Amino acid sequence: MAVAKNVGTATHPSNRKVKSVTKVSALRVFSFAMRDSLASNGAVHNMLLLPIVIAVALAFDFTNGFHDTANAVAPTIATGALKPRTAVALCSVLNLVGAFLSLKVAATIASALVAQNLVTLPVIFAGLIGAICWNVTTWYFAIPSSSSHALIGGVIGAMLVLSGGHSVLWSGLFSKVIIPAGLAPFVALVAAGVAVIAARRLTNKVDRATSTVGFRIGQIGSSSLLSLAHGTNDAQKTMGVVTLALIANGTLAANGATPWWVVVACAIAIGLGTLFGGWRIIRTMGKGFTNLTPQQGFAAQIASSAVILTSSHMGIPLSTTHVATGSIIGVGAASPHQPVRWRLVGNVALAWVITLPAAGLAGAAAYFFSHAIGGTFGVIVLAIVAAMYLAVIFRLSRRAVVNASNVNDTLGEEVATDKQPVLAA
Amino acid sequence: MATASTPATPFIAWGLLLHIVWVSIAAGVGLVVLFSLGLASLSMARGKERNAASRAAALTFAVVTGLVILAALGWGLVLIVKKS
Repeated sequence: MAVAKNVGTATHPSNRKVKSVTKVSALRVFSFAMRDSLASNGAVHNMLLLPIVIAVALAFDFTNGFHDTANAVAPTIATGALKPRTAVALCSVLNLVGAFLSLKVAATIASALVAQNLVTLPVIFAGLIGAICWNVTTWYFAIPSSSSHALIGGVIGAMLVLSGGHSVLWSGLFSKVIIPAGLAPFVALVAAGVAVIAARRLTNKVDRATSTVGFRIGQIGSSSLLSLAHGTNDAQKTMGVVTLALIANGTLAANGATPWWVVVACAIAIGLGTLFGGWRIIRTMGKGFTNLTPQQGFAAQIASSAVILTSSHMGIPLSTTHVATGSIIGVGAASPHQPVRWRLVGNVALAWVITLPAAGLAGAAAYFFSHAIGGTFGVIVLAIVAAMYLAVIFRLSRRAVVNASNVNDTLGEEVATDKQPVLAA
Repeated sequence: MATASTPATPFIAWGLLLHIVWVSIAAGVGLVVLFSLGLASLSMARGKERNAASRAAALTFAVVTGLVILAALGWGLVLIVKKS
């Protein structure tokens, strides 16, 4: 009615001033009407929002790929078993393959952490924005933090703002995320430590050249296995979130299986992200914690693969970053001549502890912000703000570029000569 | 008062977590041990101070460990794919 009334006034031929004022108010009415239709008309809302949420989920998967490339390739690059670009390309292909091997973790993410009937698309969107921002920020500071915890934290934070504590399945969260998050690095540390001690004793009579070449060849295999393991665990997390979005939209029934196109899209996104190469984090993991030998690198990667593949098999969404870091620290701690830089370990452990709550806060703030504006319009504004933040981070990162040519530089020296924001002690 | 109750799902599935812990450690250490044994045998097979028979035995052992590693990895991956 208001629109009709204003339009009627605007057609009056005798008063220019009234005409101009009325044009402005007609525009305002149109924009409010558009916003209201986006916010309240379910069909329009979901038709616009679902593709946006899926696109942002795939963008998260991409950041997951480049953030976590280090988990699989850092020891291989640090010991010179493979050239940096070759290692990253191999890792990318095997992440893609690994994404097709299993769907158990996707099922856990979609059904065991939040109440499916309470999830909405804006909540998933806000959670993904929080996770992407956390991932890119930690990448900038070269911190190997958990992409999985960023994702889960972001979604849960947004859920808590929407519906409160009853919307979170606390048992699933503790049993499948928080307790494994605490256990995983220690299990990997013990497995890798015991493995490297055994390897050292069994090969102590082998001449140095044969041992180095042998373990370097072994590392190509172990790095491949770890990349495959990463694909089976991490690509599925985004598959789980997209499945949750489809359920929230009514496209899939509750507890519905992940559609094949979601599997393909997520596999490609994580593969491309991995190919992009998160060189900053690769340097922290390969050169920061300890100076790895091929024997240590092999033991660390095999131990990480065993932990990740076993947990994928059981449907536990482990942080592959925690596992890979735990293994590297384990082999360093078990080798008296390769000291571990414990101060860096402490800083990274602190980042691990705050990842879940920080991503939760980011997700909650993102949801609060988009909800305050309202509907799809709020989601679009949030997307623009997030894109601007990411652009600033990428621009800042260009000040001190880390790439394949300087990824094996020692961290400590870098800090002394550069303004590179790394966590080195 | 006896009630017919269904077994409740534990808040934290400790059994599952412990299973993951021991399988992970066993598989991780086992594979590294096998590879190291294979490498040590290969080194022995290349040693010039040994006689031909012991070099052949060492080489055979190295090949067997390699095959066992491949079989273990293949079996593990088949298990993962099958259960999904």
